[in-house]
Amino acid sequence: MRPEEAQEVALKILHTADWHLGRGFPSFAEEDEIKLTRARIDAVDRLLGLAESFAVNAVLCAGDLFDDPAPTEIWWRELLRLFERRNWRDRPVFLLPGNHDPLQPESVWAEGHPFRRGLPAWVHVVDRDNFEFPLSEEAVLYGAPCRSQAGADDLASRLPRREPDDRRIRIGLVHGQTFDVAGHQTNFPIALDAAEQRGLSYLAIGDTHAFRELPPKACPAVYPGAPETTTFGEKDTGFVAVVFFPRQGRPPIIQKHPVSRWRWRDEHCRGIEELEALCKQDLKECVLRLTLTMEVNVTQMDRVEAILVELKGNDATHGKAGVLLLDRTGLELNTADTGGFDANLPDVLKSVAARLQAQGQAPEGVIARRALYHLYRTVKEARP
Amino acid sequence: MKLLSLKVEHFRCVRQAALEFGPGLNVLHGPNDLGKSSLAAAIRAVLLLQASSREHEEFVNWNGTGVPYVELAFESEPQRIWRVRKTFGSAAQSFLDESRDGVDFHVEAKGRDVDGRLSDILQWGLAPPGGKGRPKGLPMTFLSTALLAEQDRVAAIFDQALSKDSDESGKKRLIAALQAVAEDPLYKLVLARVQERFDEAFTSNGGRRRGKNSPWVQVNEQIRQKEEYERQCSEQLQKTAAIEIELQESHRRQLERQASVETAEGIVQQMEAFYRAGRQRDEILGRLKESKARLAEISSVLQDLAQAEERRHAILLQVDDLGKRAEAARKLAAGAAQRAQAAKDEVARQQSEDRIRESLLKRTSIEKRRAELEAEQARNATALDRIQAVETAAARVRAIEKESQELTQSVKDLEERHSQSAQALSAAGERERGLRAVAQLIRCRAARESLEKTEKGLAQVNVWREEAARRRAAAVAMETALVAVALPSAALLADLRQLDQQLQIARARLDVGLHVSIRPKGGLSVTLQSDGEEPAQHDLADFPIEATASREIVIEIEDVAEITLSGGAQIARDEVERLQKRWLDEVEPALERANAVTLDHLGRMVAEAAQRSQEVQEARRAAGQLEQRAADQPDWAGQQRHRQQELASAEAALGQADRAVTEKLARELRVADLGAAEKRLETLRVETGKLVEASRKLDSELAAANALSVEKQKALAASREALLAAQSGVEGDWEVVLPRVTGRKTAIQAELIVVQKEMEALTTGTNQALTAAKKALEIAERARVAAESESAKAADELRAAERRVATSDGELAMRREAAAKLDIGAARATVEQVEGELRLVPEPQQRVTEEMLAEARAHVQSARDELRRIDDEIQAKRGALQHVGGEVAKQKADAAQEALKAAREREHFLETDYAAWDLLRTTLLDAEREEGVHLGRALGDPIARRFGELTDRRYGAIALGPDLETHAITAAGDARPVSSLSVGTRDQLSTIFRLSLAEQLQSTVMLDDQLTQSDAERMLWLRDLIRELAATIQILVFTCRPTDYLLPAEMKPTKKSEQNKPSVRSIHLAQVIERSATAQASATK
Repeated sequence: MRPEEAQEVALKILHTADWHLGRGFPSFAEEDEIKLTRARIDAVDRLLGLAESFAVNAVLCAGDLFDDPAPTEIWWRELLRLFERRNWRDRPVFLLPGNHDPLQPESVWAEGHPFRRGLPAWVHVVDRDNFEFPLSEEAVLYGAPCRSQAGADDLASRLPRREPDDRRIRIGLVHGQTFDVAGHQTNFPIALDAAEQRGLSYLAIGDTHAFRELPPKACPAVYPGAPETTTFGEKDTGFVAVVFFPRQGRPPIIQKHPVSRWRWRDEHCRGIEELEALCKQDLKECVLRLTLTMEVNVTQMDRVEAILVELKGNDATHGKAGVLLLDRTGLELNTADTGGFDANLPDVLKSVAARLQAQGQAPEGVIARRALYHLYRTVKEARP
Repeated sequence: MKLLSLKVEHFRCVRQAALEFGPGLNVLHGPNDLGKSSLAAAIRAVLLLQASSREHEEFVNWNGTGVPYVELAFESEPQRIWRVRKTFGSAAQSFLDESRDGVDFHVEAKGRDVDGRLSDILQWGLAPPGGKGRPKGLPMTFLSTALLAEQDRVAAIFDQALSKDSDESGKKRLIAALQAVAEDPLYKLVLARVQERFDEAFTSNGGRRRGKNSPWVQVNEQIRQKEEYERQCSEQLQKTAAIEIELQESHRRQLERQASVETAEGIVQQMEAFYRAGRQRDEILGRLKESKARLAEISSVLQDLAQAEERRHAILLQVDDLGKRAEAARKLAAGAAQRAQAAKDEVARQQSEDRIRESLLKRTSIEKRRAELEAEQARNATALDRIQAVETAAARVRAIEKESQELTQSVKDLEERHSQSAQALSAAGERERGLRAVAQLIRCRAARESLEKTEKGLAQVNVWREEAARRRAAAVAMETALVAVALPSAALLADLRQLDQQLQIARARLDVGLHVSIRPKGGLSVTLQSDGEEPAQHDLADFPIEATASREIVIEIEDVAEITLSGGAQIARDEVERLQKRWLDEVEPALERANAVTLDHLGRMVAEAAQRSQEVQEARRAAGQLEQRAADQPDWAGQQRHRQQELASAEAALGQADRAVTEKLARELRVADLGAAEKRLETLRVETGKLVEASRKLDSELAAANALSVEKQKALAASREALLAAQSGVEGDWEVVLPRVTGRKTAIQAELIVVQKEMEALTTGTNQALTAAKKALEIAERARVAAESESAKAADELRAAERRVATSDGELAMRREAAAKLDIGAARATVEQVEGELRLVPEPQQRVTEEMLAEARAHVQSARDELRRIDDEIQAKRGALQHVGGEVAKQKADAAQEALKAAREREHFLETDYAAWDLLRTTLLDAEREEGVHLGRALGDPIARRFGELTDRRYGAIALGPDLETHAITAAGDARPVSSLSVGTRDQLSTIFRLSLAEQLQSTVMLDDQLTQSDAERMLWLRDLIRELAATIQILVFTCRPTDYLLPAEMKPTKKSEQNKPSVRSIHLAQVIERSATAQASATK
């Protein structure tokens, strides 16, 4: 942003969404799941820190802050603690119930819930359809919450239209899917031109986990995406939007800032060289889904297993990969080549190897092939 | 196994004996016939023979007293002590007692069970009693033969084989024992580790472990939890999916119902329009009918007036004629009266003399009269013919006029229908043009949409290509940057690091610790530098200085000297120097080339370069994918040209049509797509065809009617001319003249008859003349009366006609007065006006009644009710969907399925992995077992080795089969049968064989005077072997030559206190055996 632009800024906000606090990662091992669940709270802490560093005027959280309307206590307690650590009297935070954490009587948003009661005065819950909050003399926020996990209503249509003489910066805060995403008609659809229709300067949306900015530039609708990736295949995640509203009705300036710790990578290694190369990379902050499709002899298999231990770690050492999810169904042992076995093996072990090799030649001989590798490994370990 | 003690009573020659065995060599010696073999037999019997067996008879005490009883204690494994008690014979009894300390026994088995348990304990290949294959009598197996061989069956072992045993236990025991010997240490280690892994997951009997640490329990619990979670999520998802399907179905029905409502409303609107048009037309037609009726009424009145005028005129003419007729009748009456008078006169005359003359005169007069009457009759007939011709012509004119009027009306109707048909055709043409425009508009729209799609596709392809180009450019740039920096390969870097590490290690070896103390003897400036640190200058006077360092101290004494003190051996220093040189030659240039400061720095640069290289590959791969994706796209450019042509063609076809109007028309017609437009057009074409056909038919009908009308007009004109021509031959109105002429015709005919009669009467004679005159008089009188009657009648008719004139005048006056009040012009104008209105309201396509309209409205209402019900249904389903979760449920279900899949894959991997450990373990055991099954190989070597030592290498390998059957022995390079050996040698070989077996089994072996044929030298060797083996196994030797086994010092019986010593025990049987009396006597003899 040019300095002169900064001087003309009338309002700064940080727009975030889809924290999904409390989301489980049941595909992962328990210790890895904990790393990932904790990372979500860490990301919230980082984004709140970013809000401080930018001295934004307000923080807008556009829904799905919790993965469930009634998360276990540890999650909302920790979020309260993050808020309590900050004394933002002049920087309101707005929490919008989304489709994952809709505004319902049993939810954390209910008036009597300890989370709601424990929120500082500067944290506001968007708990009515005609929610309106003046951010300054020049800016106003409108919002409408989700009240169920699914709905066909366009919540943006509940925001008031701009009056002809209204020159303020008008910001909308809703949760849902814009119409251009096919097959989501029951997921709170939002018209693509909702911002234009309602006369909004900026429409802050949550739901889609990728960072997306929808035209027009004059009144964009923006998904900041999830601050931490929630699953493989998600693109452009791990950001928040810091938005600068210039005076004189000029279009807002949107900056995309990373706040995530983890990079989720899907890697497919088809040869041991690729696996070696991958292992040399910096994977410390990486959630790695590794698919192995290769046929190796016992020596190579031993190397593959060693690399996998190197990546995943064991009881004594940390793995090179932050989190490893391994699909080894395509990893096959080629039993035709038993060159890795010591020629001086006792006859009985040679006989065992030959028997397993013979059994392993059959297509269904996967167990025999694995047993052959175990034999190789055990002999190697047992050798003085 | 070790024997502990033996107690024998009444057994063969032994009345009683009790002895205890040592753990090593037990030499039981005594003279012949003392009972050594009986004790050996007692041991075999108590272990192998069932107490009730018939074989016991040979054990019966020789003096016939007492019952044979044997009690043997033995230890099968440490602290597992058994005691067998058997009483043989008819009162046979067997007991097996067990003890841990050899003192306190408890009964473990009785009777036949004892032998079964013994089979289990000994594992000598003997089937339990009752079991299949157990031989009768004293059963001997391979092992029992080997371990308890009888004195006279020394070489029996060569005839035995494990395969002949009654069960497998002996063989298994040997396999187990010999395997342990044969196992390779590596094999054992591998097996132990594999067993360890096997034990993690499986129990000893191969079942899966169930404890909390069992991997199966953990993974199964994970799967169970995940299945449960997945089931819950799936249920929610199924509910969501079901509701969404229902919702889609409801939306579909809603759309259908909306369309149905709109269609029904359209139909109602159309029907209402038709209905209104029909009503309006009916109203106009009603008015037209009324106005026409009024016009007809006025016309009728006027026509009636004209007819009344005509009738009055006719009546006046009739009156005039009647007056004339009355006058004529009166004249006729007067004439008839005159003739009657004349007839009277004639009668009178006839009755006078002048009647002939009178008759002549009369005839002349009559003939004259007849001639006049006939002439008149001819004229009258002519007149009547003319009048009839006029009448016929008039009737024809009237008929033609009527037909002409009907034809005119028909033409009018046809013209009206033709006009309506033309209007309908025109309207259909208009509609068709509109629909064609709509269809073209839709084609335009579709073509535009297709064009937009192809343009989007083309744009997307361009974007991909640009992105691919950008990525390739980025890859090239990165690659260029990579090439610009000269970095070592990973292998070279590793070498450099290794060199660096070696240098550090070499330097560390120089770190021996140095200390220098300098005591000046005068003023001196010294600079000290320790281990390459900053030099420190010292000005020394009286105080000494000290310096310490790890590996090097440099002392610079002013400008005098520089002393370097280095630690470490010369070889270490040389190594440092060598490595430093290498470092300078290899590392330094690499650092300079890469502009790196340290090796770590260089390492990071290499890693970054590798990362960049990876990114280059990534960028190239991404570019390739993008290009491939772009290449995989359809030919958007070609499609774009094609679509543009389509659009241009469609635009051209649309032409100058007003698009707004066409759009509006499309909306009005609710035509949204080309199919609907084409369908409508087709319907319209069919309707237009029908209209054209109807119009064509009307045209032909109208032309035919017009032609007929012209013909009728011509026929009418001709008839009218014929009427006028006919009328010209008639004086006056033929209708008036006709009755008069007809009356005259009748009168003339009557007169002619009278004249004829007169004539006849005149002709017939005088009397007859008189008669005739009288008759004539009579006729004349009747004629007079008739004429007078006719005259009176004519007068009456005249009066009646005059009255009708009067009446007619009155009526005429009234009609005239009424007609004066009527305005036929206005009535015609009204009719024309209404007809004009009617033309403005064409006949609707369909006649719609109120009932039809009501029915259609009811249909609309029904459709609206259904739509409302569907709306309610959709709302309810949306509510249900909100409840079950929608997209949230889908996401959770996806995550749960993925987690379950991952858990199952883990389980599968675990199963495969542990199955592999299981298979490996089984294969290890199988392989080993199969290797060890050839027991002959395992046992052959030690036997051959020992036998070779014994025979001074005279004999080589002994060929033993897999089941330890003895095949041959190698002697002088050839395999020879064992039977070819001398008895002594065979006994020696047998003893070595048995001792070796006992050694492997760690079992007691009993030698019953088996080496009696051995020479002293070999005996000595065998004694040493037996004594050596006795260190580990128990050997019982029954012998009468104890010196063959014992050293002289050992000859005396072992004391109680020495009995625990494992080595050698000498048992003098004479001291422990009490022979039976008979036996003693026999022995004494």
